[in-house]
Amino acid sequence: MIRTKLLIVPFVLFFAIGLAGQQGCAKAPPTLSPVGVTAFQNLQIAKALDTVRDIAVDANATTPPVLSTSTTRSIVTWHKGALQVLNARSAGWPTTIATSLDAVVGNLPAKERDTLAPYVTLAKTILQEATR
Amino acid sequence: MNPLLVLAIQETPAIIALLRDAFKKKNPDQPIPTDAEVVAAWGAAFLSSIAKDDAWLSAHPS
Repeated sequence: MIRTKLLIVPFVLFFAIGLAGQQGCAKAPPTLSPVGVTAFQNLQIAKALDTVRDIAVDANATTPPVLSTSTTRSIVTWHKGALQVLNARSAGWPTTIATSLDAVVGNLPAKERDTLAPYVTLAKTILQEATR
Repeated sequence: MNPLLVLAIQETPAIIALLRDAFKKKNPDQPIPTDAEVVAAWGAAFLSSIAKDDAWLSAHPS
């Protein structure tokens, strides 16, 4: 178990942070209006948020479950709210999404928090890069 | 097999696709999307993703 985690965590973190640092997120085409740029960024960010949700759902569906149903419910509920915040784009929305994710993950049992940590880091990196 | 390892194997294609999409360089041969296309894509993705959340939450009531 520990060996598996030791392999997975650096693998995902390496790609997420390494690629973000070296290349940055794909920028919106210059032909788009501000409305189009917003939609373009939303699509990129939503995919990252979806990944966190999808991994939680899939982890809950394994036998035995890697994540409890309670934890998965927290993540899915957070994801729904985060998408609505992203769509509304009210002031401070990137911080709202990032801090709400930290809050949800911070309240999880340590083992489940560790399981989700690389994917959370990935989502936050993409959120940060897409809005830079 | 360790369920964590199963999960990692199962999710690897999704992670690679996400990274590839998020960090890909612009290809000059790719058609440039219009405002309308991007806005429509976002609208559809938003509704679809919210629907998936609702479906899961309905299937797993607290």
